[in-house]
Amino acid sequence: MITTTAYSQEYADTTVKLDEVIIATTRLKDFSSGMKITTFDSIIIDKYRFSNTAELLSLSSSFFVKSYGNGSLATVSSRGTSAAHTGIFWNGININQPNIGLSDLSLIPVSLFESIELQHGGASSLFGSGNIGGSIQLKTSGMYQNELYSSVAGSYGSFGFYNSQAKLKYSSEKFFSKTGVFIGGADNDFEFRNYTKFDNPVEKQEHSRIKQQGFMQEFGKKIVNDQFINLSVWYHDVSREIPPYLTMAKSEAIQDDQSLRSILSYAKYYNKGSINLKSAYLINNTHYIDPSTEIDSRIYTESIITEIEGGKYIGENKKLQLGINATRNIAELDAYQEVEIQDQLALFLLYSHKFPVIKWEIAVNLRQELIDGYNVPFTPSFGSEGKIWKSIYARINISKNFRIPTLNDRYWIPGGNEDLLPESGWNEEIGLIFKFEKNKTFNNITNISFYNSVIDNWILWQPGNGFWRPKNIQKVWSRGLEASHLIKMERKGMTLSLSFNYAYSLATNEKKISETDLSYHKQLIYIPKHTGNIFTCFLFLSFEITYGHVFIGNTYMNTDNSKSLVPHDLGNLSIGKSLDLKRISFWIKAEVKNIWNSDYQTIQYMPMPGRAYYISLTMKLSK
Amino acid sequence: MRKVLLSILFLITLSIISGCEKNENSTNDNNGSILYETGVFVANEGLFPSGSGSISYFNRTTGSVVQDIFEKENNRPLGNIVQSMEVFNSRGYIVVNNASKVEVVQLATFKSVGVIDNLTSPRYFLGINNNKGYVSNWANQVSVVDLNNLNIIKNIQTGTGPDKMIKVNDKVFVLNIGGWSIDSTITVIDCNTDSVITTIQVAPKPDGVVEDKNGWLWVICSGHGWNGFPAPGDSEGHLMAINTDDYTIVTDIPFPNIDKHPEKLAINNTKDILYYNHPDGIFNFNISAGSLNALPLIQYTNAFYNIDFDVITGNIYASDPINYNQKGWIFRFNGSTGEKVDSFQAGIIPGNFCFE
Repeated sequence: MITTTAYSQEYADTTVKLDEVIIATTRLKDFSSGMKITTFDSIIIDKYRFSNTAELLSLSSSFFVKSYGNGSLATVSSRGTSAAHTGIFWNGININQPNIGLSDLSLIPVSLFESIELQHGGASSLFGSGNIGGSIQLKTSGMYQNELYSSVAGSYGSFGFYNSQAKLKYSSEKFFSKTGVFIGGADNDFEFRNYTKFDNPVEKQEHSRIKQQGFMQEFGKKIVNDQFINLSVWYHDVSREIPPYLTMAKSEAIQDDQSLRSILSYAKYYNKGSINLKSAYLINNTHYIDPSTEIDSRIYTESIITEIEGGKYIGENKKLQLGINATRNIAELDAYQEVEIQDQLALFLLYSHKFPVIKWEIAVNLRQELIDGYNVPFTPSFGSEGKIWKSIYARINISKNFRIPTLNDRYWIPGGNEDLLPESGWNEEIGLIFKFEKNKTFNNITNISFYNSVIDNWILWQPGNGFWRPKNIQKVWSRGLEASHLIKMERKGMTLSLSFNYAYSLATNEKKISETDLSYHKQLIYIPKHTGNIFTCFLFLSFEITYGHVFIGNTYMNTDNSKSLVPHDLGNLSIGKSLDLKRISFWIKAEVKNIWNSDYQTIQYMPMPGRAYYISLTMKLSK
Repeated sequence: MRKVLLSILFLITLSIISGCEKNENSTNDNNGSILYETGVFVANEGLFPSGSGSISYFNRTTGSVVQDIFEKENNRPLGNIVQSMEVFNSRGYIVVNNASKVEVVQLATFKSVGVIDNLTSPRYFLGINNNKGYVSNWANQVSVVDLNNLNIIKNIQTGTGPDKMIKVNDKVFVLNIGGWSIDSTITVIDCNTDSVITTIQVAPKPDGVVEDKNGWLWVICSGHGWNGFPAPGDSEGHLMAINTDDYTIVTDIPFPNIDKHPEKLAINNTKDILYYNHPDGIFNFNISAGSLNALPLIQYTNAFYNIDFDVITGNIYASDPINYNQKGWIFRFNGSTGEKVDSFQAGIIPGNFCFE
């Protein structure tokens, strides 16, 4: 796997260190030949410690994030697909809610994780249903070494923003315990110019307050030298006022979300292989109230997931892995007639082969899912990557991917359709990577990918006869280019890093709904054709200056492309200083977000904040 | 260092190139100055809950259409869910439901002259006399508005979800469609005293009302339930005729299928043939007939969203919103034969018509 890491200490392929065990799936590490993977390690996670993953992805990746505002609903869209086409995984467990098939990225704080990996493009062969545009792999892990570490951090800023976190890690050679807690919120009472009213008055955003808190607790135990048990629990609680659109009179809507996620895992390592057992229990509880439309709705979902995987090295260069995944999803909603249960079983066989002489490798992944009520297609993938010449590498990947309808698609009253077919399609991509490294003081990586995929039976909710219902009505041809460039230079104690991403996404509808349907051959809504970002970091003495800039091109809001949101760009600047004493270190940072005071929207008629100021202090203690 | 600068230059170039991509706005088919006096106004709801609705203007003589005339003349969007438009005393009253307001324009120029605020999910406007008008609000009240200063004088409590209204002599009949729940009543208001006279019991979801040549009021009730999605508690539609003097139900014809609900009601220029919308198509009904027609007058591949009758051309107008997120179409049909005349494009989710 060739990864492009934003700020890693080294660019060479990493081998597993035995004292750091990640009880996460090894699938992405060992069987992703030919796939494009972007890694955010702990260094970059530290820079985003007061942010959620929506911000991290917008500023530093080619994944497009559609956001309703600071801390409001934010969903991801990769390579021209929808939010339900990107799986979100925590230590290999899919945490997308089964009723809607997606996750709210604003409810995933970056600071809870040790690393976050983005896998671009289809990966149903590795992870099953819903991974058509890509997947986000959140990872937590512990170290089995003698250590006592604690940190406290707090940030305050404009519009009533506050975020406080504390972490405590205790570990020995046979045991570790990691605790993280956080609490945060914002009033979001920013000012904006209301151009929908006569005279364009300046108004204050109302009814947009957010409050959230949560914790993550992990335990790990090493039994003998080759067996590990791990228990992780993640709780999150948020209460949000839903702000009005400019075209509405007001909003009284409120949404409360609570989630509790737990994973218990066991791993045993042999001389030439390993066995992994994982069991997860996920609960989501949502309460939505809107007095203006007399809605009071409750959503409760549960997922019980068990996965067993066994891997074996055959000789030095070949690995074979076999696995089985059993998942039960339960959903209880006011809009369903009764409590709905869906069972899934997946069988997968993965094979990877390295050719060290020519520096190439291949991976063949086969997966078959068996799901209640569906004829699920067989989803294989083939990938290969390696060195072409000197510092030029190439990769290729072909995969079949699918997504089953969500529980809402099947059971919502009215409209739910139990006869819906799964969406499916083939994805092909090739990539070129140029790596240049000069004695660790200069690093330069350029990564270019071309992808093409056709997804058929794409589900769209269509209105008619007084209510909406989902249909397998669209065929989407998604193709494009992703380019990224990383530079890191060190000279005389100063470090300059620069990362640059650009994506060109063409995603068009290739099926007419009716003769007069003007959406045929047109770009899908809320998929901008051009997106890009740049992030630069300059370190000298104990100071750090960072600047990030995002650019989003024209985005269509209507399926006939008759109206669009104008392109916009945003810049964020921060200056920080660290003070390192023997066992304690301090870090103070001042930040200006939207420094150019851009007046922009990512959702039509939903105002966004202008320039905002933040200050933060972090204290770390370690022994 | 050079590579860093090149990267930045590349990104800037990209920003410029992409920013230059043409912004497609809605098309304007008309050149020169426009008077919006005689023509057909289509109220396009806009995308719920975020988009802005609009008004399309169709000129019957030239056949040309102008889109977004309010935004064109006033440089600001109308707001979310443009439910209806009424013309009264040379002014246009545009009810913007989810923005809780009525935009008032001078009809000829379509320039804004004021806004009626403090409404609660308004649906329809009805002019009463030179000094007052009524606005029905789904929050169970009809607002009495002073047309000179556009202030609300009084709110009249009605049934649940007051919707369409019709004036017969000195009385206003308000259909209580049920809002977000259910109702089966019509509130009768004395428009001299602005107070409730009585409540008439009809069938669930009274959706359309017209007055015929005999002075009777015909009401179509959709009945409760989703088309093609039967559930317990559903009820069938009804077509009823009401005597406006003593409020008795003169005729009551139930619809045969409990999972096919009729809606909307229009009447022809001689006020003796009704038209209603139905999942099977657009049906006509002669007021002297004792039963419903078995077959529709007009059939189409998709169900129409709204229908109405234009007395000037004798045509039935029907709207097709396609996928509810692109420009919709208006079809015109001959009112007697049901043959298609022509069609023109409107805005997003074209709903109610206003014929001038």
